[in-house]
Amino acid sequence: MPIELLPVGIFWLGALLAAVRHDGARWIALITPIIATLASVTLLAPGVGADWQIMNYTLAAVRVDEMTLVFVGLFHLAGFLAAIYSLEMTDRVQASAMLAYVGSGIGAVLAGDLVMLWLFWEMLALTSVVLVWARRTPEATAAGIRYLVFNVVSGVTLLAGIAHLTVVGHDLAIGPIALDSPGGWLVLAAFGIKCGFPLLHNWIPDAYPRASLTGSVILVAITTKVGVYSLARAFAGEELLMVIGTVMALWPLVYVLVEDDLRRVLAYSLMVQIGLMVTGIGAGNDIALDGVTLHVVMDVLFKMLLFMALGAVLVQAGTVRASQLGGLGRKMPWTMTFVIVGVLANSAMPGTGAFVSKKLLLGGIEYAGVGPVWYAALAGLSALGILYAGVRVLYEAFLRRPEKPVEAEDATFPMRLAMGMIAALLLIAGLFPWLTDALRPLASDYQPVKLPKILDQVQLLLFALLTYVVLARRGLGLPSSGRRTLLDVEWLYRKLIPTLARRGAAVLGHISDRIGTMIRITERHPGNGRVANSLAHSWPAGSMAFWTVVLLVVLLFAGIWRS
Amino acid sequence: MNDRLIRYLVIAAVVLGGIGLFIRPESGVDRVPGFYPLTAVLIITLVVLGVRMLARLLERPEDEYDAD
Repeated sequence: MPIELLPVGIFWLGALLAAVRHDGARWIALITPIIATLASVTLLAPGVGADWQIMNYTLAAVRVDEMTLVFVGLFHLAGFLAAIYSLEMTDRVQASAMLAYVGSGIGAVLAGDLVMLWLFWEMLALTSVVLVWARRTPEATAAGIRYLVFNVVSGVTLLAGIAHLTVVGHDLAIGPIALDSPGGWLVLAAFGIKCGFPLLHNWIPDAYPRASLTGSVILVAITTKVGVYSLARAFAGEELLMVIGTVMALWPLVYVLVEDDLRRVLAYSLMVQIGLMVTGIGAGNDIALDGVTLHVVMDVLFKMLLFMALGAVLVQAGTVRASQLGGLGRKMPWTMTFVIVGVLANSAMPGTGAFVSKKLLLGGIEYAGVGPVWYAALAGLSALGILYAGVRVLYEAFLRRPEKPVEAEDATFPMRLAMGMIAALLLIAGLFPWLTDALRPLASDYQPVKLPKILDQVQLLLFALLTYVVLARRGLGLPSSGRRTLLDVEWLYRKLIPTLARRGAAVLGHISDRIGTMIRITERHPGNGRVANSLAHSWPAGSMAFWTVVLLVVLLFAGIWRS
Repeated sequence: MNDRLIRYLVIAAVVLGGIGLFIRPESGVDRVPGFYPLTAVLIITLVVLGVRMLARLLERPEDEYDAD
């Protein structure tokens, strides 16, 4: 293995040690990202590359450029913050799986060719599912299996795409792939599953809210972001992605605004942000790709922050169902303060890093020539962010009067420390936007922070809030939260297909019974004719083999004749 | 909702909306005065009303998926 993959190796070694050391697992989880960061800083720089000889094959194990470094740095940071957050947890399974998962994510973005990407792609699926199962509830187990199915299908689709690209003589290096062959479409489908394209998305809201506390925090940081990174590498400028991304950003709105489970609300809102990134990748210009990269960083930070806060609520109040929460602001003041920063960032409020990244991203999308209605729909997502994060999470959990008193204390010190660090990063990036220039890999010449843009964004959020307040006073606000299931595409494979399968099995069983009855009748009356007679006897194995050979020979000659 | 909150929101909207009529980006599809206030009002109204309607269509009892 090339030395440039050492950061990955350090994470995997850390995972191994955490798995065998019961008492020290959480400290290993904390130290490993620090050591791996030192290794990355020493070994990785733009232009670095390394090959890996395996038998007669040469794999491009590592290819590094500016965009790679942003993602690698982000994953290190995410692993470190998640480790701080879970410092008081003693579950070595979670600690070990988290380290292996982060290492796999780093390996995936370092990969120089599609085969290496596929290897880490599969590792990512296998390690992340443990984080879902680590919740140790029947719902988490079932959701983990569905999660694994989606991710393994993504891996198999990617492998099929790679195989076809190889057959048609396509270079396997990570780089632009045209949609002019089935291989290209298969690779796009594989990346699409990882990103959560519409109709392929259900594993996100299904598994993330059911994962363990640490699991949901780190899952939002890596799997879908590896998908976004891969898409940006292979399909930047593919106009189809602008349409897919816009649909993806608008599709989950009904769920984020109505779902009762607030972690599920966040999982759907993750799709909204990724939809925006996919649209930016479709735009494909330097401004948009810089915007995508920066927005990935900001999205990871504020989503981790909000998931951490809801994790603390889950620990303290025992639920994250909006219908059972309320009034936590007085009992969890620190957590509420961090949630406010997360809500502001989620709504791209000026003063937070998300404002810088979203304006940059929208600037790139606008540069690609979208019309005013399309642009307004994407810009307006921030206005909706104030609803689903502000009204749903902040208001319903922390500010409103609860129907029943909720017993809770504030988050533990490590949790507050992790949330505080993320909140500080978001505010620093917003208040000193030039610091984020280092996170723009293509160094596009676009200034997203200007007075008119700041004013416009504040107007957007203010008028959004005012409009909603007016609607709510007229009794036209969002439906009240309550325990319910909202149908999504998962209904197809969790309800329709099992129902059809059960009915199909019943019909087949019925047919099988009828055939059995016929055979029994013929066995009792073997002399009723030649066909019945032959059915009534069991055939010797030699006879079966003979007729199989005859059939194969016939097929062989038929094939030769046709060719 | 608190009446005072709404009053503050209206005042802030009028003030910022007024300033926003004059301070515009030099170029881009959003340089039209009132682009963002109008976008916010339309999007929130359409989405909230649409979501109320869709939620009724998509809503099922909590045990919809108990079969698995």
